[in-house]
Amino acid sequence: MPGNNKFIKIIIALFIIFLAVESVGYYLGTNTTSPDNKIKTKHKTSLNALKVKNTVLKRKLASFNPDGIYIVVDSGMNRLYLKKGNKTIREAIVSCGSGNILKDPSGERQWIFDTPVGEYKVKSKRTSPLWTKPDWAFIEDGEAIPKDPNKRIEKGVLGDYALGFGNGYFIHGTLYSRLLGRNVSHGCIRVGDKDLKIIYNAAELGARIYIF
Amino acid sequence: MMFRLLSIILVLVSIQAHAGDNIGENYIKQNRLLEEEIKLSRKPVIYFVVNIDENKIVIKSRGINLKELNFQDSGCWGRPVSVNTYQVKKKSTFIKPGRETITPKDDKEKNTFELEALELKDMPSRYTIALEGGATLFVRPLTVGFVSAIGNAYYSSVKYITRPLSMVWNTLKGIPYTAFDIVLNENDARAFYWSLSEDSTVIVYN
Repeated sequence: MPGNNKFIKIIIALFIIFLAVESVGYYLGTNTTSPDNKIKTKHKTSLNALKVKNTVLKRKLASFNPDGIYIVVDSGMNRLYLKKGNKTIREAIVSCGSGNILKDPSGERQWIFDTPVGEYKVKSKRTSPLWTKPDWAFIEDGEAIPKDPNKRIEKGVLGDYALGFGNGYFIHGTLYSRLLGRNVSHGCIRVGDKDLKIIYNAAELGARIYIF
Repeated sequence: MMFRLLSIILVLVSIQAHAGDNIGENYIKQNRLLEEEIKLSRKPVIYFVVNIDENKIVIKSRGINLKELNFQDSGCWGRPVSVNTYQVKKKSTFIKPGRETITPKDDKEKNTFELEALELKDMPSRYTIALEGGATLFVRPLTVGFVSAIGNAYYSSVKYITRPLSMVWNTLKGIPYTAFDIVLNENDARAFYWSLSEDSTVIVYN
C-alpha cells in the first residue's frame, strides 16, 4: 500500500509538471508579436512616402506581365486558359502528363511522364505535324528501336496543329478526345480539335506559357 | 463637463494614432511583399503567396495570378513570420501518392487500354509543408462527412497537446517556431499539394 501511494504521488507530480510546461508553451504560442512590428518602429518613412513607393513597386511588378496573348495550363485540373491581361479568351479541357514511370529494359534509362512546370515560350508552330517517335514510344509498345530515322515518323497522331515549347514538348491535338480532362499524356498537352485551332491562331511565336 | 470632453478627445486621438500605426504596418508589409515578388518575377518560375491576412493562396508567375485558392479557415500559432521569401524544405503526408511504373506491352496487351495515372484525386488533402526558417504550414480539408470529422477532431486534440510542448522545446533551443493552420476545401487542398514541390518558393504574408 505505501508503494501505491508513492506511485500515485509521482503520477500527480508528473501531471503537474506536464500542465505547467503546457501552460508555458500555450502562453509562448499565443502571446507573440509580428517581427514587422519591430521594423515599424525603426521605419522613419512617412505613410505618404510608403504609399507612393508601393504604387511604384506595383507598376514595376506589372511590367513583368506578358504584353500579348499568353497561355496558362493547370496540369492538375487539366485545363488550359488562353488569356490576355486578366481576361480569359478561351478555356479548354486538356490532357496533361500521367506521371507514370517507364524504365528501359536495359536498366540504363528512365522516363517520368510529367508535364513540365514553369514558364515557357511558344518556340515553334506547325500545321499537320508529324510525330518523330522517341525511344520511349517504342519501349512502351514493346518494340525494337529502329535504326532508320524515317521509321520513327508517324502521321496524324498529333492532330492538325502543334505548338512546341521546348525539349520535345508540344501543345497538340489528340486521337483520344474521350480522355480529355484526364492525365494520360507523356508530358505534352493534348487539346481537342476546336480549341486547338483557336489556340494555334491566337498564340504567336514567343507567346508565354505558364504551367503549374 | 470639461473632464468628459478631454477624455473623449484623448480617446479619439489614441484611436487615430492606433489606426495610423495599423495603416503604416500594412504599408510596410505590402512594401516587403512587392519587393519580394519583384525579385521572384525576374525569374521564369512559379511561386506561391500564402496570404494569411486575406485568407488565400495565390499561385503566381511574373506577378500574374495563375490560380487562387481561398481558405475556409486559418490560424497562426507562435511568432508570425516576416513577410519574406521561403523555400519549401519538406512536404510530408501520411501516405505519399505513388507513381505507376509502366511495363512494356506484349502483343496480346496492345489492343487493351487501362488508365493508370497520377491524378489530382490521388493527392492528399491533409499534409504539412515545412519552410526554411522554422515556419510550418498545416493544411487540412474542411470537415465534410464522418471521416473528415474524425480526422479533424483527432488533429485538433493532438495539436493542443503537442504545439505547446514544441513551442517550449524550440524556445529552449533558440529555434523560431511558427505553425500556420490552413483549412481548404478538399479539391483546393489537393491542388495546392499538386502544384507545390519541394524546391518551390513561398512568400508568407501574415
